Amino acid sequence: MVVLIYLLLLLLAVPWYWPADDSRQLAGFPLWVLMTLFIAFCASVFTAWNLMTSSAEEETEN
Amino acid sequence: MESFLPFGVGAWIFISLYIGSLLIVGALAYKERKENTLKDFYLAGSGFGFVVLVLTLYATQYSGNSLFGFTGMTYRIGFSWIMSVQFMIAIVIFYQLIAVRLYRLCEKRAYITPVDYIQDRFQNRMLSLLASIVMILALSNFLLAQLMAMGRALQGLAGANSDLAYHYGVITLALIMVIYGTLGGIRAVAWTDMLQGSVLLCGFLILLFVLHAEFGSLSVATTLIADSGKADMLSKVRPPDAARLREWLSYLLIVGMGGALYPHAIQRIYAARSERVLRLSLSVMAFLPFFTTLVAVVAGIYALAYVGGFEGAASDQVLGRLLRQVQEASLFGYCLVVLLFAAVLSAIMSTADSALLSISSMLSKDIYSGFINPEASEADMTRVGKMCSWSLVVVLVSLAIVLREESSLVKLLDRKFDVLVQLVPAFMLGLRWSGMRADATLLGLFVGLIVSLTLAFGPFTFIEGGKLWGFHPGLYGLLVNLLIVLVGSYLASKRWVQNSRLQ
Repeated sequence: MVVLIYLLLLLLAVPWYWPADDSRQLAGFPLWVLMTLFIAFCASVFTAWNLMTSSAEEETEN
Repeated sequence: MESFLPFGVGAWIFISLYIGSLLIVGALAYKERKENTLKDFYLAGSGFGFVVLVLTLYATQYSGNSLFGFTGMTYRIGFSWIMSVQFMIAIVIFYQLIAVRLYRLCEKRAYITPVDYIQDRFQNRMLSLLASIVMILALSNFLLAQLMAMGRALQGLAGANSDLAYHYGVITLALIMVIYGTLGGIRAVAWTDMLQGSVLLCGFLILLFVLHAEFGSLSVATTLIADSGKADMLSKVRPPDAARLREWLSYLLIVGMGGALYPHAIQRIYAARSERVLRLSLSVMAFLPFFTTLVAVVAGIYALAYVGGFEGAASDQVLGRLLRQVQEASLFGYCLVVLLFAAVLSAIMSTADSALLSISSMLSKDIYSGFINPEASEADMTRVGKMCSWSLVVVLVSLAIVLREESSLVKLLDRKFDVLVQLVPAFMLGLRWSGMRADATLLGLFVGLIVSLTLAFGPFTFIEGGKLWGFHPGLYGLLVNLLIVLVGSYLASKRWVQNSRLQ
């Protein structure tokens, strides 16, 4: 499941699907850039969540 | 950097105090050492807590290249370099494949260097030697780039004496770095990283503020580029073409995997105080590209809008030119640029000191103790490691002075990852697949290196901009490498089953 979510994020991270002549902007960023940033943010959130919840074993405290 | 105005006396006093404080931290770390062992010198004994670990990982991952190289790259290709935010996150994603498993193994088996894992897992001395050589060469290349960046940082402030300043910059900063590194080991490096990481993070935020205050909003800059009437400028705000998209995917893979295999970062994984600290630190690292690389991209867009006339490798200097305008505008701007300069030195020195310490640990533990003097005591290895640090600094400082006019920072970055990713099967697959065979891994690594280096440096007309069909040579090498590992391990296990039946 985790691998599938990362593959989906990878598919969306590279903006191959965005129209080549699009020139719309928001706050100085082209819309396609905001889309890639949004996907990047989703990847960060998912990674942090996965790191903090995936441990099945007891953690090793020194 | 080559466009800064010369600093005044006050600024130099501030910079000198900052650099002097690094030596004090080194001396404090020396006093703090518990014992004369490799674990204490290279992994800080009982390890680092959350704040130290996250700041040392941050200061190590983000180098001089993050500021100058990334701003320059945005200047060359435009908004498409937003891929840098994604590939810095990709490093953390790939860490998930190795970090926790390596940490647990290190707890049980007391690893010091990344190659300790390879020797423990595969029990093959040739493989360990080749892995050591790969890591040492890749890191030396990286360290050389940082030393050259140190020289360029001071060169830009010197006005007429810029050649002399480059030499003094490389020699002085390298000397300070090697002094505190050999005094306090990883404890000194991580403590100075804490200071440097904080200054660096503040520096990036100050940069954003400075650019907005001096040039206005990003919208104006982007509109200026889009309305310039030049096709090449327009292409820098439009979505990337097919070739750039392939390059984008290539960067995500090669930097993601290669960055996760930085030897000095792996040693920080070993040095985490607990698994929870490690997980928490990596979680925070996943968000730091938004405060670092994204700012460098925004700076590159401002440079594209307001600074003209730079091409190719020279565009790595656009940030310096941009800041010169800020410096000239007001006293406040001048002070901010001095602070930013301290952040620049932090970025460069924190990466360089970590790389240097990691190389010295591999030279002493993996090469000296592994192949030259297996009976060496821990105190001997620590002493040899310190001697290696000094020798390496002398060699690389000389190279940095001889090669000062060489290629752009991003070019150096590309080649380092081409080599490092050949270790992906040994780490990312080897930690999960018990059937993976040592001889197949060795052959795969060897052939992968040959393929990627031949493609990278061979006289081929089909290689454009150091890439084949938009993909880094290292990825082709990795593909061959993986195939050899998979087929070789499968055939070896089949032969083993047949032999055991015959017996």
